[in-house]
Amino acid sequence: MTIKILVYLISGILCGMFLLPSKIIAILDPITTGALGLLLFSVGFSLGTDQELKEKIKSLPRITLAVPFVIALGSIVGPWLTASLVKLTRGEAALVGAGFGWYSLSSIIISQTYDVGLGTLALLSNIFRELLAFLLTPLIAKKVGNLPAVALGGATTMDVTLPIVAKNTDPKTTLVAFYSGTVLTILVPLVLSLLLRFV
Amino acid sequence: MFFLLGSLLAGFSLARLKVRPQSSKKVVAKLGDIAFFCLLFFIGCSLGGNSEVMLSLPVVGLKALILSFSSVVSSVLFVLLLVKLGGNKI
Repeated sequence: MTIKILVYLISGILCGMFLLPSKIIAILDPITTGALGLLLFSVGFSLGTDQELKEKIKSLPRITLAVPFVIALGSIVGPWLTASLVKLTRGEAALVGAGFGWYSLSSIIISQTYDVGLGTLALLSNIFRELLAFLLTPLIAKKVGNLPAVALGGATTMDVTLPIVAKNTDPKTTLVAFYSGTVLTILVPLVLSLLLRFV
Repeated sequence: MFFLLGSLLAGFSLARLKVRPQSSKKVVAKLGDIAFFCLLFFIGCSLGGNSEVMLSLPVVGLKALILSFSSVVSSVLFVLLLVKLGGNKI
């Protein structure tokens, strides 16, 4: 699965770099959204056909409500710890991590309110997070567990990476992933503005 | 955003209406598979065609990779800890 994902991604990158004219690239956004819409339709359909979904939701322990907040904390602590490796202050590294995978918003906020260079780093780092989620979610789900596999996508488990979670886990985890992605999406601007006060 | 949420809800509602959901399940899953790989390809195209991303890659690529990797590893570990604290009930 991971190899197949890598093949499609890399062929896309190469096509974007060398084959596709900029006019085509400019209209890729609505096409990508269309493909994502179809994908989410199939995830919704698969959840809808699960006859025991109600019972599964009821059986979820309350602790799952904490999942997005724990992911948020982990997303910030990791870069905070590795700040010296990348020659950033701990606060700056934490800012990059606080994008939770939502690269467009985090890079814009950081560029406009702090520094364009850090904004570019946030853009790239959060793009990498989305790519890592595509590549590693199947492996983490298999080797570590379903719920830890939700952590990779961060805010993107609300949409782009929800299908990869659905494909590799179960309906219960898919619901937690959707909930987690939604909460993290709301948290991105809030946490960023909070952290920006301390850098 | 509304379109994406609408798609998810439309799929869910259609399956709940029980209009031959079991027989259509395979077809919809297959369509989802095709859309998934198309999506990956299109995301790749958008990245490859984005000069801002491609130009910054050699300059800050490694830094970005270290930060995203540490972010991912740390959040996976934190969730794992939560699962252990919850007595593996999750």
